[in-house]
Amino acid sequence: MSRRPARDPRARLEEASEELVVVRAMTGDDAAFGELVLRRQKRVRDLMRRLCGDHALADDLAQRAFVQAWQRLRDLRDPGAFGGWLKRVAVNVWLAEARRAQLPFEDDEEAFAEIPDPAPSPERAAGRIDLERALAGLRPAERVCVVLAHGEGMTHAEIAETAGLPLGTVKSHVLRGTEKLKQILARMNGDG
Amino acid sequence: MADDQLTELFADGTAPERDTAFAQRVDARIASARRDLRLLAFAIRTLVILTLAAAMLVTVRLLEPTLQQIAENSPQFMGVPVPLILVALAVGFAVRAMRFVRLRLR
Repeated sequence: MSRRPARDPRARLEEASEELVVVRAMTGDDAAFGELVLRRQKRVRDLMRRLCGDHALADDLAQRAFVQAWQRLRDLRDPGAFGGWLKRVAVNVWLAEARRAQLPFEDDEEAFAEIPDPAPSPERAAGRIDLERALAGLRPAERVCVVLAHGEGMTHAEIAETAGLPLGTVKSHVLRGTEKLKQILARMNGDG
Repeated sequence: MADDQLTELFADGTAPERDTAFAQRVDARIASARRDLRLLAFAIRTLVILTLAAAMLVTVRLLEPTLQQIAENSPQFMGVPVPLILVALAVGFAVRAMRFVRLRLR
Protein backbone atom coordinates (compact mmCIF):
# COMPACT_ATOMS: atom_id res chain seq x y z
CA MET A 1 0.00 0.00 0.00
CA SER A 2 1.53 3.34 -1.02
CA ARG A 3 1.36 6.34 1.29
CA ARG A 4 0.20 9.65 -0.12
CA PRO A 5 2.76 12.46 0.34
CA ALA A 6 1.88 14.90 3.17
CA ARG A 7 0.50 18.20 1.83
CA ASP A 8 1.86 21.60 2.79
CA PRO A 9 -0.15 22.84 5.84
CA ARG A 10 -0.25 26.38 4.38
CA ALA A 11 -1.83 25.05 1.15
CA ARG A 12 -4.37 23.13 3.25
CA LEU A 13 -5.25 26.35 5.13
CA GLU A 14 -5.68 28.23 1.84
CA GLU A 15 -8.27 25.69 0.73
CA ALA A 16 -10.09 25.42 4.08
CA SER A 17 -13.39 27.18 4.72
CA GLU A 18 -13.15 30.48 6.57
CA GLU A 19 -15.12 29.11 9.52
CA LEU A 20 -12.60 26.32 10.00
CA VAL A 21 -9.66 28.73 9.73
CA VAL A 22 -11.31 31.03 12.31
CA VAL A 23 -11.81 28.10 14.72
CA ARG A 24 -8.14 27.15 14.36
CA ALA A 25 -7.06 30.76 14.89
CA MET A 26 -9.25 30.89 18.04
CA THR A 27 -7.28 27.97 19.47
CA GLY A 28 -4.06 29.99 19.07
CA ASP A 29 -2.90 28.77 15.64
CA ASP A 30 -0.78 31.66 14.30
CA ALA A 31 -0.64 30.24 10.75
CA ALA A 32 -4.46 30.19 10.68
CA PHE A 33 -4.64 33.82 11.81
CA GLY A 34 -2.05 34.69 9.13
CA GLU A 35 -4.32 33.07 6.55
CA LEU A 36 -7.26 35.17 7.82
CA VAL A 37 -5.13 38.32 7.45
CA LEU A 38 -4.28 37.35 3.86
CA ARG A 39 -7.93 36.68 3.03
CA ARG A 40 -9.39 39.77 4.69
CA GLN A 41 -6.67 42.42 4.32
CA LYS A 42 -7.98 43.81 1.02
CA ARG A 43 -11.47 44.49 2.43
CA VAL A 44 -10.17 46.04 5.65
CA ARG A 45 -7.60 48.19 3.81
CA ASP A 46 -10.15 49.34 1.23
CA LEU A 47 -12.54 50.25 4.04
CA MET A 48 -9.83 52.21 5.87
CA ARG A 49 -8.66 53.94 2.68
CA ARG A 50 -12.21 55.15 2.06
CA LEU A 51 -12.58 56.32 5.63
CA CYS A 52 -9.20 58.13 5.84
CA GLY A 53 -8.27 59.00 2.26
CA ASP A 54 -4.60 58.61 3.23
CA HIS A 55 -3.18 55.23 2.14
CA ALA A 56 -0.27 55.16 4.62
CA LEU A 57 -2.52 55.98 7.59
CA ALA A 58 -5.18 53.57 6.31
CA ASP A 59 -2.67 50.70 6.15
CA ASP A 60 -1.40 51.54 9.64
CA LEU A 61 -4.98 51.53 10.98
CA ALA A 62 -5.72 48.27 9.15
CA GLN A 63 -2.69 46.67 10.85
CA ARG A 64 -3.91 47.97 14.22
CA ALA A 65 -7.36 46.49 13.50
CA PHE A 66 -5.84 43.05 12.81
CA VAL A 67 -3.75 43.21 16.01
CA GLN A 68 -6.89 44.08 18.00
CA ALA A 69 -8.76 41.26 16.28
CA TRP A 70 -5.96 38.85 17.29
CA GLN A 71 -6.16 40.06 20.90
CA ARG A 72 -9.96 39.76 21.07
CA LEU A 73 -10.50 36.67 18.92
CA ARG A 74 -11.56 34.61 21.96
CA ASP A 75 -14.51 37.02 22.45
CA LEU A 76 -15.95 36.00 19.06
CA ARG A 77 -18.94 33.72 19.74
CA ASP A 78 -19.81 32.60 16.23
CA PRO A 79 -16.84 31.76 13.94
CA GLY A 80 -19.17 32.20 10.96
CA ALA A 81 -19.66 35.88 11.87
CA PHE A 82 -15.93 36.69 11.65
CA GLY A 83 -16.29 39.03 8.65
CA GLY A 84 -18.87 41.31 10.28
CA TRP A 85 -17.05 41.23 13.61
CA LEU A 86 -13.73 42.20 11.95
CA LYS A 87 -15.50 45.06 10.15
CA ARG A 88 -16.78 46.39 13.51
CA VAL A 89 -13.28 46.13 14.99
CA ALA A 90 -11.90 48.09 12.00
CA VAL A 91 -14.56 50.81 12.23
CA ASN A 92 -13.91 51.16 15.97
CA VAL A 93 -10.17 51.54 15.31
CA TRP A 94 -10.96 54.33 12.81
CA LEU A 95 -13.41 56.00 15.23
CA ALA A 96 -10.75 55.93 17.98
CA GLU A 97 -8.24 57.51 15.57
CA ALA A 98 -10.84 60.14 14.50
CA ARG A 99 -11.42 61.02 18.17
CA ARG A 100 -7.66 61.10 18.86
CA ALA A 101 -7.05 63.37 15.86
CA GLN A 102 -10.09 65.43 16.97
CA LEU A 103 -11.82 65.16 13.61
CA PRO A 104 -15.12 67.08 13.67
CA PHE A 105 -17.21 63.92 14.02
CA GLU A 106 -20.23 65.83 15.32
CA ASP A 107 -22.24 68.12 13.03
CA ASP A 108 -20.09 70.87 11.55
CA GLU A 109 -21.53 71.91 8.19
CA GLU A 110 -18.70 74.17 7.07
CA ALA A 111 -15.78 71.94 8.03
CA PHE A 112 -15.81 69.82 4.87
CA ALA A 113 -17.49 72.10 2.36
CA GLU A 114 -14.34 72.14 0.19
CA ILE A 115 -12.96 68.96 -1.39
CA PRO A 116 -9.42 68.46 -0.13
CA ASP A 117 -6.82 67.86 -2.83
CA PRO A 118 -4.42 65.11 -1.70
CA ALA A 119 -1.31 64.08 -3.68
CA PRO A 120 -2.21 62.47 -7.02
CA SER A 121 -2.80 58.73 -6.63
CA PRO A 122 -1.87 56.12 -9.28
CA GLU A 123 -5.59 55.40 -9.71
CA ARG A 124 -6.30 59.04 -10.63
CA ALA A 125 -3.26 59.12 -12.89
CA ALA A 126 -4.68 56.07 -14.65
CA GLY A 127 -7.88 58.04 -15.30
CA ARG A 128 -10.10 56.13 -12.88
CA ILE A 129 -12.64 57.97 -10.79
CA ASP A 130 -11.00 58.67 -7.46
CA LEU A 131 -13.72 57.62 -5.07
CA GLU A 132 -11.43 58.09 -2.06
CA ARG A 133 -10.87 61.74 -2.99
CA ALA A 134 -14.58 62.31 -3.46
CA LEU A 135 -15.31 60.71 -0.07
CA ALA A 136 -12.83 63.10 1.53
CA GLY A 137 -15.33 65.86 0.66
CA LEU A 138 -17.84 64.44 3.15
CA ARG A 139 -17.87 65.11 6.88
CA PRO A 140 -16.42 62.16 8.87
CA ALA A 141 -19.81 61.07 10.29
CA GLU A 142 -21.40 61.20 6.81
CA ARG A 143 -18.41 59.42 5.29
CA VAL A 144 -18.56 56.46 7.70
CA CYS A 145 -22.32 56.10 7.12
CA VAL A 146 -22.02 56.29 3.31
CA VAL A 147 -19.03 53.90 3.19
CA LEU A 148 -20.70 51.33 5.43
CA ALA A 149 -24.01 51.57 3.54
CA HIS A 150 -22.70 51.46 -0.06
CA GLY A 151 -19.28 49.84 0.35
CA GLU A 152 -20.08 47.24 2.99
CA GLY A 153 -23.80 46.76 2.29
CA MET A 154 -24.75 47.32 5.93
CA THR A 155 -28.29 48.24 7.01
CA HIS A 156 -29.00 51.53 8.80
CA ALA A 157 -29.51 49.67 12.10
CA GLU A 158 -26.16 47.87 11.70
CA ILE A 159 -24.40 51.16 10.94
CA ALA A 160 -26.02 52.79 13.99
CA GLU A 161 -24.77 49.95 16.19
CA THR A 162 -21.27 49.90 14.69
CA ALA A 163 -20.66 53.67 14.62
CA GLY A 164 -22.52 54.37 17.88
CA LEU A 165 -24.82 56.93 16.21
CA PRO A 166 -28.61 57.29 16.63
CA LEU A 167 -30.63 55.53 13.90
CA GLY A 168 -32.24 58.78 12.71
CA THR A 169 -28.83 60.43 12.37
CA VAL A 170 -27.55 57.46 10.35
CA LYS A 171 -30.54 57.63 7.97
CA SER A 172 -30.05 61.34 7.41
CA HIS A 173 -26.24 60.97 6.98
CA VAL A 174 -26.68 58.18 4.41
CA LEU A 175 -29.27 60.17 2.45
CA ARG A 176 -27.49 63.55 2.53
CA GLY A 177 -24.02 62.02 2.25
CA THR A 178 -25.00 59.99 -0.82
CA GLU A 179 -26.45 63.07 -2.52
CA LYS A 180 -23.36 65.10 -1.67
CA LEU A 181 -21.07 62.30 -2.92
CA LYS A 182 -22.97 62.15 -6.24
CA GLN A 183 -22.59 65.91 -6.63
CA ILE A 184 -18.86 65.76 -5.89
CA LEU A 185 -18.37 62.88 -8.35
CA ALA A 186 -20.34 64.80 -11.01
CA ARG A 187 -18.16 67.87 -10.39
CA MET A 188 -15.00 65.72 -10.63
CA ASN A 189 -16.23 64.31 -13.95
CA GLY A 190 -16.94 67.82 -15.16
CA ASP A 191 -20.72 67.29 -15.36
CA GLY A 192 -21.78 69.81 -12.75
CA MET B 1 -25.54 59.04 -11.04
CA ALA B 2 -27.78 56.09 -10.04
CA ASP B 3 -27.40 54.18 -6.75
CA ASP B 4 -26.30 50.98 -8.62
CA GLN B 5 -23.49 52.91 -10.30
CA LEU B 6 -22.38 54.19 -6.93
CA THR B 7 -22.42 50.66 -5.45
CA GLU B 8 -20.43 49.47 -8.49
CA LEU B 9 -17.88 52.19 -7.83
CA PHE B 10 -17.54 51.01 -4.24
CA ALA B 11 -17.02 47.40 -5.33
CA ASP B 12 -13.68 48.31 -6.90
CA GLY B 13 -11.01 48.79 -4.22
CA THR B 14 -7.40 49.93 -4.51
CA ALA B 15 -5.68 47.50 -2.08
CA PRO B 16 -4.01 44.41 -3.60
CA GLU B 17 -5.30 40.83 -3.06
CA ARG B 18 -3.35 38.45 -0.74
CA ASP B 19 -0.58 40.96 0.02
CA THR B 20 2.07 38.92 1.88
CA ALA B 21 4.14 42.02 2.74
CA PHE B 22 1.15 43.47 4.60
CA ALA B 23 0.53 40.13 6.37
CA GLN B 24 4.19 40.07 7.47
CA ARG B 25 3.86 43.57 8.93
CA VAL B 26 0.76 42.46 10.88
CA ASP B 27 2.72 39.38 12.03
CA ALA B 28 5.56 41.59 13.33
CA ARG B 29 3.08 43.79 15.22
CA ILE B 30 1.42 40.73 16.77
CA ALA B 31 4.85 39.40 17.85
CA SER B 32 5.58 42.77 19.48
CA ALA B 33 2.14 42.83 21.21
CA ARG B 34 2.74 39.27 22.44
CA ARG B 35 6.15 40.27 23.88
CA ASP B 36 4.53 43.23 25.67
CA LEU B 37 1.79 40.98 27.11
CA ARG B 38 4.36 38.45 28.37
CA LEU B 39 6.41 41.22 29.96
CA LEU B 40 3.29 42.63 31.63
CA ALA B 41 2.28 39.17 32.93
CA PHE B 42 5.81 38.64 34.29
CA ALA B 43 5.78 42.07 35.98
CA ILE B 44 2.36 41.38 37.58
CA ARG B 45 3.48 37.93 38.80
CA THR B 46 6.69 39.38 40.26
CA LEU B 47 4.75 42.17 41.97
CA VAL B 48 2.30 39.69 43.52
CA ILE B 49 5.13 37.44 44.79
CA LEU B 50 7.07 40.40 46.21
CA THR B 51 3.94 41.81 47.92
CA LEU B 52 3.11 38.41 49.45
CA ALA B 53 6.72 37.94 50.59
CA ALA B 54 6.77 41.40 52.19
CA ALA B 55 3.42 40.77 53.90
CA MET B 56 4.68 37.42 55.21
CA LEU B 57 7.90 38.97 56.50
CA VAL B 58 6.03 41.70 58.37
CA THR B 59 3.53 39.18 59.83
CA VAL B 60 6.30 36.84 61.02
CA ARG B 61 8.17 39.74 62.59
CA LEU B 62 5.02 40.88 64.41
CA LEU B 63 4.07 37.40 65.62
CA GLU B 64 7.61 36.29 66.48
CA PRO B 65 7.36 36.76 70.31
CA THR B 66 3.96 34.98 70.48
CA LEU B 67 5.13 32.13 68.22
CA GLN B 68 8.29 31.69 70.31
CA GLN B 69 6.19 31.45 73.48
CA ILE B 70 3.88 28.85 71.90
CA ALA B 71 6.86 26.81 70.66
CA GLU B 72 8.46 26.80 74.10
CA ASN B 73 5.29 25.84 75.99
CA SER B 74 3.83 23.23 73.55
CA PRO B 75 4.63 19.49 73.41
CA GLN B 76 7.26 18.39 70.91
CA PHE B 77 7.38 15.51 68.44
CA MET B 78 10.94 14.37 67.54
CA GLY B 79 12.23 17.76 68.70
CA VAL B 80 9.74 19.77 66.57
CA PRO B 81 6.86 21.69 68.28
CA VAL B 82 3.51 19.95 67.50
CA PRO B 83 1.68 23.22 66.46
CA LEU B 84 4.35 23.73 63.77
CA ILE B 85 3.75 20.21 62.44
CA LEU B 86 -0.02 20.84 62.42
CA VAL B 87 0.38 24.15 60.54
CA ALA B 88 2.66 22.50 57.95
CA LEU B 89 0.10 19.70 57.44
CA ALA B 90 -2.77 22.22 57.09
CA VAL B 91 -0.85 24.24 54.47
CA GLY B 92 -0.01 21.04 52.58
CA PHE B 93 -3.67 19.92 52.51
CA ALA B 94 -4.82 23.41 51.48
CA VAL B 95 -2.41 23.50 48.52
CA ARG B 96 -3.49 19.99 47.46
CA ALA B 97 -7.17 20.96 47.70
CA MET B 98 -6.59 24.10 45.63
CA ARG B 99 -4.90 22.07 42.89
CA PHE B 100 -7.75 19.58 42.92
CA VAL B 101 -10.38 22.35 42.64
CA ARG B 102 -8.47 23.97 39.78
CA LEU B 103 -8.32 20.65 37.91
CA ARG B 104 -12.07 20.09 38.38
CA LEU B 105 -12.84 23.58 37.10
CA ARG B 106 -10.95 23.06 33.81
